[in-house]
Amino acid sequence: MRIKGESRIFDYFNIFLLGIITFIVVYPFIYTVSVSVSHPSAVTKGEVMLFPVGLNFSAYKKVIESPRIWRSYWNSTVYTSIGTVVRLFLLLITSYPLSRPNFPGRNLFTFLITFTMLFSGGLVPYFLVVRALGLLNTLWAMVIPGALSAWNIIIVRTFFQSTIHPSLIESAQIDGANDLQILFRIVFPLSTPIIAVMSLFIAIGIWNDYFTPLIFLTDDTKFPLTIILRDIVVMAIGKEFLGLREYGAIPIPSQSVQAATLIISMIPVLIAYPFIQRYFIKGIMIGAIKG
Amino acid sequence: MINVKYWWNRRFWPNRYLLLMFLPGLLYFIIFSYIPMGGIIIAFKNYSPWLGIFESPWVGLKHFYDFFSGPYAWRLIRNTLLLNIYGLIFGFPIPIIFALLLNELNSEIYKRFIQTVTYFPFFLSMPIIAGLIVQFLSPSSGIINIILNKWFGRESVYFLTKPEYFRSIYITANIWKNLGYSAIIYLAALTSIDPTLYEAAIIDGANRWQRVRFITLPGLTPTITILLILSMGHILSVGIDLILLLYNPMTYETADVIGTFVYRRGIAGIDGAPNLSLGTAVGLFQSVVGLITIMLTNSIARRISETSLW
Repeated sequence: MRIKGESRIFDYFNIFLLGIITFIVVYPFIYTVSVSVSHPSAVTKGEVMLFPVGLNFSAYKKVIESPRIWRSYWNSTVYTSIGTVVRLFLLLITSYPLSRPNFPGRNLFTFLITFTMLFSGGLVPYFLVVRALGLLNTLWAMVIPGALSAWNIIIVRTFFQSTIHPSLIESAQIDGANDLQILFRIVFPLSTPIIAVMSLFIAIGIWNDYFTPLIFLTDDTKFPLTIILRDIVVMAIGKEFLGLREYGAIPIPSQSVQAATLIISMIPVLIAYPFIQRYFIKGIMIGAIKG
Repeated sequence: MINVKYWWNRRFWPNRYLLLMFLPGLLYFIIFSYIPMGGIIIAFKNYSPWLGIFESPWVGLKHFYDFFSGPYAWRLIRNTLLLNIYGLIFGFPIPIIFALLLNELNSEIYKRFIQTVTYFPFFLSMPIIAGLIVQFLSPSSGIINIILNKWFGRESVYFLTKPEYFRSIYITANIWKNLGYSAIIYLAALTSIDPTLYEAAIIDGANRWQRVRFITLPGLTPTITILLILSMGHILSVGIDLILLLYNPMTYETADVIGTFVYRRGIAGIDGAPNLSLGTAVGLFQSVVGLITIMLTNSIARRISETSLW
């Protein structure tokens, strides 16, 4: 808000400062793109600082020809799509009963769920449970552990409580609908905003998850993209900082190839970004309404 | 008996579908949250996979004693605390200042552009962030070292093998990643401030700084308090995803934290065979301290302000 006669010096300063901050945030991307399309020798000589030097797409060709990248891309896609459907459904059917005042044991169950935000058994017992269930090295290791979070349940429950009027449910009950019919025919159609937000939350969570596959997957053919990227990071650190020539028996990729891999792996997030933008801000707003 | 019958007829049976819906979620929390809590007993045993949890012999507090009398406990606690404290000192105010600056911007288009751009890194996975960091800091061709060589005539610095740089790298990367996201939370809180307050202040002759100081900041206080309590609850746990990607034995001195130690010694068994009982004991220590700190900060917050988690 501005009033006439106030100094504009601050405004100019503010525009300038925010411009610098924005440049700092974007610069790593510009730099990485430039490295990936520059001539590899220009990169090693340290000539690339902002814009590409000597356009060259050989790095992308190398990445695209690598079967390991494509397989992990495919794995990530499978984990994300199956995981999102399963986790979203589970989230909705768990949150809905908690939003109903007549649900027996509502307070106890809400407490049991919120308590998990405050205290946990730690990583090792969690790992042992997942191993005992035989989930290691299966698709389900990426779907079931971590499927529900107390935080999301509270957000969705609050959404149901605040948007779906109790009289709507009552009138459906008078018309003879049972709770399953109410959920599928009335509650779900009225909840599309939260369903969109939550699917995005969940999908991004699985796509970006790197700790879960790190501890639960050991089979190279099952690795998602994040683990392949991790290998590249670890190899790059080995080469650049620790002076290793190769990693296992694999030669370490050049910096241009590393950069190209990073860019290629960002593409799905970049494509999804307009949707994320639109729904995420809404989601944070919904979350900000205190439950 | 009457009670059971009443409960069944009036409470259970009419709500059978709701209970049915809730069942998978309940099972989920029992299996993945409460059974692991029961699994804490292996912290007090010498767990052996062949004997199983129940047959393994009790050893009392041996693992806690080993951990706290060993060479690593202090280093791990110090590193975890320092990463959190530095993260709070630098990472907490910056998004608030950024949100306030954005809020003072007159051009909606410029504002939206900045938000769209700064929000993006939040959605990238940690390996990508780590990849960008490695690109940046590479001694042979990373931009930071190019600048050091060309502009300052200095030798390349092997940043990722020098313990003294690790904390700065970790904290800068996290601020960079989360800046736009955290700012959106504050901007959302700002929209709930009644605009008539500003109008009244302008009529009363309040200047820009006074309006920020006496309207905007007090309007943000509840959000700031809640976020501070939540981060205090995590004082002994720090996001280990990025650390696991960037650290190496040369930087353990500042980079190794409780979480990475539990992972390395408890599950991965990177130095020596995995010791599940030790890992559980250290994890339990971390959980208990987290529970205590969040309770303490919450009660302090309730006493000194009106905002608290519960």
